[in-house]
Amino acid sequence: MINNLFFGYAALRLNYTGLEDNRPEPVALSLPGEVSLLAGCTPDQALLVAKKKTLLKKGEDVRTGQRLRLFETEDVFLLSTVTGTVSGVGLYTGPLGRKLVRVNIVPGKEEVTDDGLFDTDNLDPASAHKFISQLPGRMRLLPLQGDLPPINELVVCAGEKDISVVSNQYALKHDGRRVADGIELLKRVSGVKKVTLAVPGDLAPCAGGMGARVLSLSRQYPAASPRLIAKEILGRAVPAAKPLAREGLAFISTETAAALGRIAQREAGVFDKTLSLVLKNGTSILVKVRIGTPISHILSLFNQSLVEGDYLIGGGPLTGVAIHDPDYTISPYMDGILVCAGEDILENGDYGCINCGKCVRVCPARVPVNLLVRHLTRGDYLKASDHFNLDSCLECGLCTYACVSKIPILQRIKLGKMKLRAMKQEVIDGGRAQ
Amino acid sequence: MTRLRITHAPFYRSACTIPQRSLWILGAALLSLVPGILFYGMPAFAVAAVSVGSAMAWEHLFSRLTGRRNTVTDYNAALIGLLLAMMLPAGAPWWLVITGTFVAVVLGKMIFGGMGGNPFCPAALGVAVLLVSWGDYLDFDLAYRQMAENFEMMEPLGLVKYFGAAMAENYHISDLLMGRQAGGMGTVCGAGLLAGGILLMARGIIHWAISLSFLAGVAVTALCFQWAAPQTYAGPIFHLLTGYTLFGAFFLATEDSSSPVNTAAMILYGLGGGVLTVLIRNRGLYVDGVIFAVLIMNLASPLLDRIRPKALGAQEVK
Ligand code: SF4
Ligand code: SF4
Repeated sequence: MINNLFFGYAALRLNYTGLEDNRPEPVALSLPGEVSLLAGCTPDQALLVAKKKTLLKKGEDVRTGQRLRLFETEDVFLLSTVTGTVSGVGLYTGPLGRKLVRVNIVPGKEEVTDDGLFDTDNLDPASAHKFISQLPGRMRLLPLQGDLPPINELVVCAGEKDISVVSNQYALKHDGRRVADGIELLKRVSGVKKVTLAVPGDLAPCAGGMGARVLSLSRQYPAASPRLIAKEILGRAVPAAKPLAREGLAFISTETAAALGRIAQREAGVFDKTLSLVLKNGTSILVKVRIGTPISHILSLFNQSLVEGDYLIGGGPLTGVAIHDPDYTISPYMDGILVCAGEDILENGDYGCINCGKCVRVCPARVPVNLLVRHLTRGDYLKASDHFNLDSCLECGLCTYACVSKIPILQRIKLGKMKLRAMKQEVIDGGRAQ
Repeated sequence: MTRLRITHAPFYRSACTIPQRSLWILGAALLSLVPGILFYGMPAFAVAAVSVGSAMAWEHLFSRLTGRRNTVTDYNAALIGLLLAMMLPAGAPWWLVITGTFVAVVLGKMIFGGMGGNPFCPAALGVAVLLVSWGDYLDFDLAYRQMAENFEMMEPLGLVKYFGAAMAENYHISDLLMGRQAGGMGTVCGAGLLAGGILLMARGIIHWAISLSFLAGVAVTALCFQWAAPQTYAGPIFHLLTGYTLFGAFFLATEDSSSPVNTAAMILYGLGGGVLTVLIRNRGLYVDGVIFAVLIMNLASPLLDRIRPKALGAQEVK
């Protein structure tokens, strides 16, 4: 979980995991006895769920790809990932205490795909956004709606969000045809002409002939971070506080593009998620599971037992989220699962910053982390943002990885950003109230 | 239900920790202290032992008195003690050593809140105070008068300062590298210092930019002086291998908290230190300028660190 090479400078360079580091073919896992799908909801909607007043009721039959409407408004819906019977609709507390609606479905014997899924002719940009966000590999950066400027350029990214995961590389290399079809479909729906395919350098040969310009990415983490890609594409850095969408850039992952390709070709398997499973002994296995599968189902297939104090991490080791419940399910954007024994994870230290400068030297955004962390520790968020480039942070976690004092820097950065957002919101709300 | 642990990302951490860093620097320092001890014998060992011991005792005592967490186990105090001892002559009186470690550990580090808060390199501060207060005890010519050895037991820098550049010819490069010169017990063995410095740079524990630019600053300034007045001033090689130069470049100027972290700033910081060192040696009151050069640059370090690369997408704040 930690490394300590003899040569200090080399030790701080982290490379993305390549496909060859996993078992080459994904192991296709059986469907679980019950899948559960999760969606965020507002407090009002949560109340409706608690009172069992959702549109979707227990006992209803659903087909794969069917739109499941939960409330009168359209803002929350789920795409069923299996064919079966709804066994329950309830509330669930996710990681970091987020309130979610949970729909449980017991898969039936035969799988039937809903025709509506393939009805892409009538897909308008506004609903495409939500629709696409339910497909495997979501990148949360597809601004097809809202008061945003039109998209100039669509970036299809085969780079990963973290080290140790390979889903997008796999999609490009083994599902290239579908990725190309997906790009075609996206162009049609969004009306965007310019498409860039961002690929790790060694996969460039797989990226030809897809109707997209190819941008070669370095193997060094976090080269695939959207802001760094945007800088390559635009030839200049996007101002730190400005969303990329405001520059007319939209991001989508190759895994999502491949799922869209399946839809375009009316193929099955749209909701299969490829993810890297890193077992307690460090072995990494590529698996293919249906979205909504409980993690415990996967762990039991690989004989992984969890004991008190273990870690279950969704995503990668640098940006992932610790999961409290083994029954938490595979979401569209969870590219990896890490199972770790507690003692393999180095705990935070109780030293202050000793000014060693390691964080500053690894930071891809050139944030003066050593100074920033002092202000964050003190809770001086405004100063951190005005003078010490809090907003420039890409949240890659490298500084925290490198920190000699083992300060939870990334956590403080995220907290700082959150507090500032809340402060700004208060100012806006205050202005409205006047 | 099994209780799983919840913390925040990242879950992988580089294994480099504070105690480990201290131990590596301690180890690297020993590469030049051990030859010194072999050379000067028991008096040198006694000074090193008293220094390390008292430095740790001060830290322990101070954390006790102020009710702070005890940080002796990070070996930083031991390291400060060891570095301080290396700059002293073998056989320095015990009270001098203990006073030195008090200044270094308590005044140099602990009152600023411990590691990371200190504006000066603690060991350099300790020696500076001794140098100013009890200069005679740090005069190597006086200290080694009693010792009969088969080489020039005068401090090379002093000889050159008072008797001209020709005195430098008394020393062959190999003498200086192997430690056949009068000086601090751990700072005379140039070969050991170089080995330790290279080890630390390779490990990424100290940064090459500071060490190398410090040495470059010394070399270039010495060259200029020599070029201007060859009879009076010794050349770059001599300056690099005598006094605290190598020790300063690898162990004092690189102290984390008191040195800059950005490459451009580090290079300026090192160069400045090197230039000041030779200026003080050649034109100043003191025989060796490393200690004061380092302390002056420590003062400039926060200013220098304003020279930093522009962050990604950073905007000017009016
Ligand atoms: S997480 Fe740390 S290293 Fe990464 S961009 Fe932010 S400040 Fe820099
Ligand atoms: S790595 Fe940690 S201790 Fe070192 S300068 Fe950065 S924040 Fe400070």
